This record gives sequence, structure tokens and C-alpha cells, in this order.
Amino acid sequence: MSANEQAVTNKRKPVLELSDVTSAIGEAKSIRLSNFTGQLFEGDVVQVRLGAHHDPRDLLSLVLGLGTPLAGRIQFAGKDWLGRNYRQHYQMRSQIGRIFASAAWVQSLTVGENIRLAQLHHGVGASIITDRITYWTERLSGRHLSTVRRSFAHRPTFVDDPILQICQWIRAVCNQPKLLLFDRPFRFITQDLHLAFVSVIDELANKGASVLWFSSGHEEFHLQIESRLVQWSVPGDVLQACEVPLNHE
Amino acid sequence: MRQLLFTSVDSVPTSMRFAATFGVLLIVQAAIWIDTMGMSPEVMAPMLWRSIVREIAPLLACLVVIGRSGVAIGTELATMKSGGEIEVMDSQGIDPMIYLVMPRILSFVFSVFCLAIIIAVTMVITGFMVGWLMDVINTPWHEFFADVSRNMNFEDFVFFASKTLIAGGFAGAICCIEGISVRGAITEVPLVSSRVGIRALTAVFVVSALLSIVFYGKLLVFKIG
Repeated sequence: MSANEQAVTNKRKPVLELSDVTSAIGEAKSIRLSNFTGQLFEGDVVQVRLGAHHDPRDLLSLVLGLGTPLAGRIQFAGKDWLGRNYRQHYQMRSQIGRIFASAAWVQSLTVGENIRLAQLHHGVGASIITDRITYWTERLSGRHLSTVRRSFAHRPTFVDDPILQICQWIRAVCNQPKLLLFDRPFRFITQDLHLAFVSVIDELANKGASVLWFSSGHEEFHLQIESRLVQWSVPGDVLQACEVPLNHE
Repeated sequence: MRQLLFTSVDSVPTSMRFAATFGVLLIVQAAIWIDTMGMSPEVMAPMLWRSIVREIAPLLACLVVIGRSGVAIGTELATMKSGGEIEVMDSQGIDPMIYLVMPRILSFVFSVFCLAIIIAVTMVITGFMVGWLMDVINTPWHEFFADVSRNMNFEDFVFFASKTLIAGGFAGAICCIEGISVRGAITEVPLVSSRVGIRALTAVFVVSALLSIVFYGKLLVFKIG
């Protein structure tokens, strides 16, 4: 890291910090952490290239404090997931947007109810939620706008995957998150929408959010991200951090 | 509200059917024994009313709610857990205890309480009607119900409330906890469904028996303390 880069990094606050984290041995397809240390600063976009057999779902849940590592410490915005202050933990999670690669919806609710649920639960006013959803729907749906709007009235089972994926994006960014956790977020997203989605990532990063982005497929690797893009790798199914940004001097 | 509708309102016809059958069996049997043993209905009425209000109605309400809703709740939560839906909620900072478990336990308790009232009333009415039609009950209806209402006291309410609320709470909590504690694959869901009913029923019987022991201070005919 250059001196300039170091100075810029020092000014920005870390959003997510993993210190010497070792994860429990999960399923064979999962990515493991072995004494892993890495940080995501405000405005960082960290992209992790996945192999076809990788499933980062457990790892992302670990980052969210839904699992306990064998060793080490995970901190979000300076606070860890330890202790029994569950109210604080849920409050912390409300500031994190997540896109799932599978099983992303509560099946007994409509897509619209799913999108509103977390914000209502955290006390956001109904009119504010409607405004936010309207704004992000218009921004992210492109030519699918009417289909996305219609999908809000249906249960997830009856909505096509590309539309559901757009709705996942709306849900993830609606609550002005500090951290975005992406598990293959561009799956099912048609190419004509890529620019709009990338602009959203850059905009949120500019506002101080950071992104941990597990990606597979070459399309995702070649998107023109303007934010500070760092790549982490998964050699031998073990996550390794890299501090050097790809697109910044 | 959805839970209340499902657990409480939708269970009313089932509860009334069960209560009607039980009422007929109980009151007709009692009337036959009154004649056989030469007892007066005034002696039997409080005994019948108390056994209905203090024991049978709360127990029957618990059986109906567990059978109709408890197993469904356990299965639903187990399916949500194994399908990753609870993880989705957790990830968004939604506490499943507040969003999923508490409303179900509360609706369970409320349903058992309300259904037990409906069951008690239905048992008495249908028992009287059938007994009167079969000519085993010769008391006019207004005297019969006057006898029943005369025999109601505050103690009955304490028994009734505690048996419905506590046993209902236990049963609801067991159904939810069993459902939400599933780990792993969807193949575990049928196992949970069968386990939920048995465990909740066991809890209801045990809690009911313990409360009776506490209230009466007796274990069967043996006085405690």
C-alpha cells in the first residue's frame, strides 16, 4: 500500500472488521476462514471471486453474527456480535443489506410485504417506506418497472427469478445500509440493467457504505466499478484478504 | 390477527362439535347415575359444573388447539427454519421471537381461554337438550341453568383462568420452540410434526395435573402437607 493510499484509508472508518477469525468446519462447499484478518472501510467494494462449488451463505451469516466463529472477532461499525444485547444486534443488522443467492424470501408473505417487513419492524413510517420503495423501484427496474410493481402483490413462488432478483436489490438498498452483503447479486439480472445497478453500488459507496460482494461469472468481474475495488480470493476454499485496490492508484 | 383468526375463530366449529359430544356423554351419564343412586340433581349439578369448568373444558380446549393449530404452527416454523426463511428475517434484524413466536404463543393462550368458555357453555347446553329429549333430565331449563349459575363462584374462575392460560402458554411455547429448533434438512419437518403434538399434549396433562394438586392441596385422595 502506498503512503497516499495509507493516508486515505486512515481517514475512513472501518465498517466491517474481521480479526483472526477461524470459522467452524461446515459443509464441504462452504468457504472457510482460517485466522482471517480483513477490513472493509467506508466506500470499499470488496469482491470475492467464487468457484462454482462455493456457497458463501454460512460465511455471510457469520459476518452478520448469526453464527459464532471458533476463534477471533467480527465487528460491524465498531461493535461486535458477542454478548446478550440482542436488541442492539438486531438494530445493527437493520443497517446491513443482504442479497441472497437462494432462499431469500418469507414465502407466506407477498414480495411487497417482504420488502416492507424489516423497515416496519424497525419503526420506519409507512409513508417513508412507500417513498423509498417507489424511488428504488423506479431506479432499478428499467423496462421491467410495471412487472416489478405487479410482483409486489404476489407471493415469491409466483414471481419470476429476474424480477425477484430486482426486488431483492430494492429490499437490500431501501433501508440506507452501511454495509451490503452480496451473494452473486447479478444472477438473473439482464445486461441492460447492469449500469443502473453499478451506479447504485457506487452511489452507496460514495455515501459511506461498504460492500462485500461474492461473485461468480465473468460478467460480474468486468463491471466498471468506480469505487475503491479490492479483491479477496478463495484459494483452497479458504478466504484470503488483499489490501491492494484494483482500480485506484 | 392472522394467527388469532386461524387458531381461535377457525377452531370454534370443531370445539363445539367436541363439546357437544362430551356434553351429551357427561350429562346423560350423570343423569342416569342420579336416578340409579337416588341422588337429587341439586347434589350433582355443582359437581358436574365444576368438573366441566375446572377440568374438562380447559383440557378439551387445549386438545383442540394443539390438534388443529399447534401441529400446524410447529410444522410451519420448522419448514421456515429448514428453508432458510428465519435466517432471512434474522439477517434483516427482525427478531423471530417477536415476529413469529410471541404472536403464536399469545394467540394460543387467548384461543384456549376463549374456546374453553365456548366448550363449557356448549357442553352444558347440549347435555341438557339431549338429556331432556331422552327424558333423563326432568328439570325445566330455567331451573337447570339457574342451578348452574348459582353454583358458579370465584374459585371456579381462578381454576379456569389458570388452567387455560398456563397450560395454553406451555403448549404454545412447546409447539413454537420445537418448530424453530429444527437443524438441517427439510426431511426433519415430519419428525417435528409428530413430536410437537405429543410433547405439547404431555405438557398440558402434566401442567393440568400439577395445578390441580396445587389448588386442592391433594394428590388423588391423599392430602398434601
